Amino acid sequence: MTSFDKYAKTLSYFLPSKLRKEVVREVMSDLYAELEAERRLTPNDTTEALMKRVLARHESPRVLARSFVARRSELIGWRVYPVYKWTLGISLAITLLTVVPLSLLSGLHWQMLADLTLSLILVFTIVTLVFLAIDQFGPLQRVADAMSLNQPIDSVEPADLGVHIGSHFVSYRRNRRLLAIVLLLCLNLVPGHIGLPILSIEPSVQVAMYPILSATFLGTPRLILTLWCALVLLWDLLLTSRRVARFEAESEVALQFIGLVLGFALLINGHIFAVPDAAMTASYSDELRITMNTIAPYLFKILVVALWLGWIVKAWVFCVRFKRRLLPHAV
Amino acid sequence: MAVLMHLRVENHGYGVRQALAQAGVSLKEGTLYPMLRRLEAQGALTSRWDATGDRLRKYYSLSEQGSDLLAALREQRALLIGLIDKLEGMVADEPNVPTLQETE
Repeated sequence: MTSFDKYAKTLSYFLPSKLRKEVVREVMSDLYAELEAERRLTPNDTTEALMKRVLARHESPRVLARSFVARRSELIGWRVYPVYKWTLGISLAITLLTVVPLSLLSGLHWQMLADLTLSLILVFTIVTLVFLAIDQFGPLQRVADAMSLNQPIDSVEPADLGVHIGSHFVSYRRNRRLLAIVLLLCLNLVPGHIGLPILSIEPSVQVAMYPILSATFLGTPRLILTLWCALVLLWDLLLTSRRVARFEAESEVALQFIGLVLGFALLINGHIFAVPDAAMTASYSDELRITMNTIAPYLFKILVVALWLGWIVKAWVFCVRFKRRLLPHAV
Repeated sequence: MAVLMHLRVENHGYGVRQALAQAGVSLKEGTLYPMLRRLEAQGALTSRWDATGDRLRKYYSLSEQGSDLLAALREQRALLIGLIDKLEGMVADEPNVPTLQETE
């Protein structure tokens, strides 16, 4: 695949569908005209070298595609929007999966509905404010740059999609990198404070932190998970080397296999998730305390399984979209 | 206006960029292509695809509406330049006020 092909595919990916065909055709025809002009100046250079020189004078395909989209005022800018959407989706799903079973088991009543509504609003507000800060303020914007959130997916290669679903998708790898950094920090700096905030409005409005991880987990399993996160980050770093990138597909499959084994090992271990103790649930209402004690041991296993299933569905949908957009002949 | 001027004779996007570059005006493709589309949507430009050799090229040219727009823009430019000259003359007549050249 030539540099021009990559440019065209990336441009095509980011353009609105109704403009895609015509704009890509026009831009590419002009790029080839520029290539011919460049060839007349330096006839001894290889085509690939000439292409790279021509592209160096052009804007990134992502920036070019963006210029075709009508400008509008945005709360969360386009650079961090994909990660924002992903984080918000996960956060809202976690809230729903934890609050809805509680309300169903303890009988649907207004207190639970109020809890659910308030929790969703709270999660939405917190996630939006955090990403607003990342997007708007200079120092945090540089953090986003450092995490390559602004990097165009020029390096996307339509490799063998049947072998490793989703591994080539830059947004997937970026999300995984982000998650690995967050996990590394949380697991090692504030392991005791990883939990779910539970909002209660009776007898007074209060937010209690329900711990997710058991004391057993904070031993060896945490060490394994920490190593896994470090491995993910190291792998992302190694991928910047062209020599390693040649074996990306094979290594990615191996990495995902290790992740799956680790995930199942953690799932079948019965001592990962904390069971609420009497002191923790003392402030809860009787119904909530009984419900928590009954379903808490299973609740987080269900949550993890749901997240895994969600990931598989997302990877599959992404794969179909990738094939349709970048490899139209393959569908 | 510069783009419209270079499309009095049929030309493609790259040709317009080259002509402008030779005149010392650097125009990014992210500015040029959306502008060409907007002008076409407004009826100021007409376009056609041409297959020369094995490659398709999109050519633009000024429509009648575009010629009117260019004439109107030229008129506005002349008006603006006249107005600035007049203002500068007024400022130069006042002894204590520095002229634009002095300020620079």
